[in-house]
Amino acid sequence: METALALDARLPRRAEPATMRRVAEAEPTDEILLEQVAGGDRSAFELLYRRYSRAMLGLALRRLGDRGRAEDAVQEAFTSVWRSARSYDSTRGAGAPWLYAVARNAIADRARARSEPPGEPRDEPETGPGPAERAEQSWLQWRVHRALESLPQSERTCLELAYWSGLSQSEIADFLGIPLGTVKTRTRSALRRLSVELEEEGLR
Amino acid sequence: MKAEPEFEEIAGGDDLAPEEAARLRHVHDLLVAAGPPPELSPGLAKPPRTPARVSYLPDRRRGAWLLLAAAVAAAFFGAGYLANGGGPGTPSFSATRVVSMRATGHATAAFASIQVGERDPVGNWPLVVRVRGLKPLPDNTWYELYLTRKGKIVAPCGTFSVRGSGATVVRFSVPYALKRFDGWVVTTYKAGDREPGPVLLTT
Repeated sequence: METALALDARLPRRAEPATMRRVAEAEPTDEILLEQVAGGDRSAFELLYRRYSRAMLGLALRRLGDRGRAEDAVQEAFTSVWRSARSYDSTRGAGAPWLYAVARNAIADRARARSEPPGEPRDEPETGPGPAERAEQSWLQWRVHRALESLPQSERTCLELAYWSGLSQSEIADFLGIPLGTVKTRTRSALRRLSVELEEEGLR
Repeated sequence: MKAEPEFEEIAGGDDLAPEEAARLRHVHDLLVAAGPPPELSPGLAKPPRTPARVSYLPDRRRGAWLLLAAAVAAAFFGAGYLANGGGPGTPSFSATRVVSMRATGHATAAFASIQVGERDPVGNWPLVVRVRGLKPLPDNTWYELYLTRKGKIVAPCGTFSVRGSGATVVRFSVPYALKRFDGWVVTTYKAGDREPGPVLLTT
């Protein structure tokens, strides 16, 4: 009883400055999920999969070019995540780069496994982006695709239609059966969320 | 079909402040540069089956370790059974949701998660709090978990200590109606103080 009274007595009278998110909307970070996966938590593994599978597939498609092999690489990458999550140390870095490294290794293994006779060396110099530019582009793509997964479904749909379907804003409104103003609002809201997400990830 | 999405049509407008417009335009540029994420085929709709983890102990030593682990587990089980007065054990914990906490400037390397279990028939919510990166505190000082509403610390949920740099896992039970709150924070609490210390972790 004395303890209970003491607790009441020391309840604060002032507010602490802190940014609050609604509890129901809060989602565990990648770092926490990796710790839970390390402990054998299958639901944490599934949540990580939902967050990263499209980003991983994008990376694999870019590197391997073939959808079948890219899908195999994604499966192998996630199997590696499950097996090696215990080696992840959150004090040494965030979860996203660690997952990126695991994905890259799995994709590289899949690329090496290709049984293809060595080709003739090229005579003319390559004109495409160099390895550094390609790596930078892959990393950017990975983070943007991962950030997209953090959006509410309604906003993500508007954004994906706006950017990659070729539909105009009016056509998106017709397609989704919502007012044009709602399309604008959702699209801007999605861009704002992405801005925050990417800022936290160091892409701004 | 358009060649490339244009920011002005997608999100532009006179109502946007220049700074805001620049911020959104930058995200727009990143989206255009990244290109569309691929759609998952039905074969990738679910994650791969999770294989059993490999043990790295040699077979000869694995048996000894298993025996030792079984003995330790039996000892803990027995101690817990006795501590509970020999009655039925504590109910198993099944999380209904997980809330993540991030560090404020007072504890930059820390993070935590709160697993919220099912409310029991009496009205108590079991919580399992997993914390990493908080420093051990001096005597008579502890960490304390609070529920908050609109940025204000409202209700204490329990105190805990940490030791070493590894993860600390603690269990609490709170009787409050959680829907009346909108967040959690972890602060320090020193014996005798009327108010909690700085917020170290927040949702």
